[in-house]
Amino acid sequence: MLATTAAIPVVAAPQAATSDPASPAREQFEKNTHQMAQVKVPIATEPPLHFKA
Amino acid sequence: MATVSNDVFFASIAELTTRLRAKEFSSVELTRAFCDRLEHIGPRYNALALSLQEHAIRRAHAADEELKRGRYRALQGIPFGVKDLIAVKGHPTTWGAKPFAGQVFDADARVVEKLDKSGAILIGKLAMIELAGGGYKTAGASMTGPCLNPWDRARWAGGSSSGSAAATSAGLVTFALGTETNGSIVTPSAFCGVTGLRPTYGLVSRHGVMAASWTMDKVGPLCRSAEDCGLVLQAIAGGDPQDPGSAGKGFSYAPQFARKPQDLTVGYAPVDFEEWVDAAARPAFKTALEAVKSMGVRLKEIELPDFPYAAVAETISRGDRVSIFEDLIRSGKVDQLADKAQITWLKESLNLTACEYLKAQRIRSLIQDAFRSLFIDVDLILAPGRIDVAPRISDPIDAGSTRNPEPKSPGIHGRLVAAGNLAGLPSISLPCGFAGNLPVGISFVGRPWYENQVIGLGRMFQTQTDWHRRRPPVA
Repeated sequence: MLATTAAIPVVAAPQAATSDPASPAREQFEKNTHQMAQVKVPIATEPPLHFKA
Repeated sequence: MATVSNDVFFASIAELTTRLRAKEFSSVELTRAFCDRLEHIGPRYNALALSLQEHAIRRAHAADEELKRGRYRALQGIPFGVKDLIAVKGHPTTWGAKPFAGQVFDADARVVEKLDKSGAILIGKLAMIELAGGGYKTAGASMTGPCLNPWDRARWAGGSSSGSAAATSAGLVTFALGTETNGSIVTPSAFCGVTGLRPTYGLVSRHGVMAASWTMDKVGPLCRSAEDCGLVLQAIAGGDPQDPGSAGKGFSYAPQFARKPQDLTVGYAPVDFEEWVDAAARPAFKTALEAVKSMGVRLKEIELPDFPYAAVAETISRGDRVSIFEDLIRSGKVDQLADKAQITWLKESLNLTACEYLKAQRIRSLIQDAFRSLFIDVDLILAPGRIDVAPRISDPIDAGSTRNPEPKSPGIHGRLVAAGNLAGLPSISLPCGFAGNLPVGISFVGRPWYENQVIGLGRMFQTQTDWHRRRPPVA
């Protein structure tokens, strides 16, 4: 009689949450947006962009 | 044939000029000595992108002919290097990045033309952070590998004008050109112990120079002294219709007409010097502050206007870079860059909205107004160039700026670089001592077009100190 190998359920090792390599950049950009949102910019303020016709 | 002694490698522009005119050695002899040194030692620091020895020797022969005829140009025979984002006709200009390794332009950048006309001799292109930065996190963010600090090869030279600072520090060139969008001249200058000048936005043409941010990029010199910065700036400044950011102004180096220190009020934050700077560097900064006081200036405690400078600078930088490098990013070639964080930063920047970008630019207008007001109360601002010494090559480049216990106020040091770049202000970085074997520096920031005052104060500081004359242990 062939020995049967009991099927031993393989328990997967707990995996670290999949880290998204883009997360640090996204979090930094969100922080920037939040910080800039705190600044009250008068409606008449124009961006300092130059165009010469 | 005259022998060129080793001391020429650390000589100032004025010293070399005097010795060349006295025919102590020829321009060819001097150029060959510098080229050999740059080729031999530059790679030890990953500082060299491309040697231009043949080109340089041809120029040096021409310089010798002129010297024989008694024709003296301002920088006749002075060997220099340029950051490898400055175009040199017919030679590779890689922008420090693998996707652009084979790039060749058919014309010199305006600053190269101007230095050529002034008689200076270009001997090499110098290593840099790929694409002059943007979200990079490691010293290895360069096609030529991490640029090593001549004071300690286990440390980084700083970026993004890494090779320009390292080569100047190690005596491989008499001066170098770098560029700054947000700290790329003043940071490596502080880490490598050289004198670096970031000019007012629009004073030096960027024609033929890689764009990183159209409204923030500046070209400036890294030198042995404030005096040399003035001489080089005079040669490269000037209006240029081919640079849309050009202000159309020139610059004459005239430190004799700068206001006397007794008539100047310099703003600073004592907490920067007493609590924020690295503990090992505090004695050096304390002595530097005493030297500034002894010059006779009035020191006045200030706070910077309250704005999220770093957030605004990064947002503008993202907006400009993602447009400039859109093809690189969308084609997937961006994945050839060396720094993973920089790749992600560029890709994610595609999601920046026009609203956010313009908000940042509009806040910038408020920042400019606030600095105009600040400069009614003070003539210049003084701060540590960096509060830490150069990081180890193996460390993340943005680690190490926390303090325990946290100082009582934020000071100005951490925001002045971004603020100064957003407002387009000139700044000079001056070596001011050591922490262990590593150099540290202070920075003066002035109002726009105040270069003579900024350089003049730097020059005076350097008559009282000799930190700018110290040499790293280069074999």
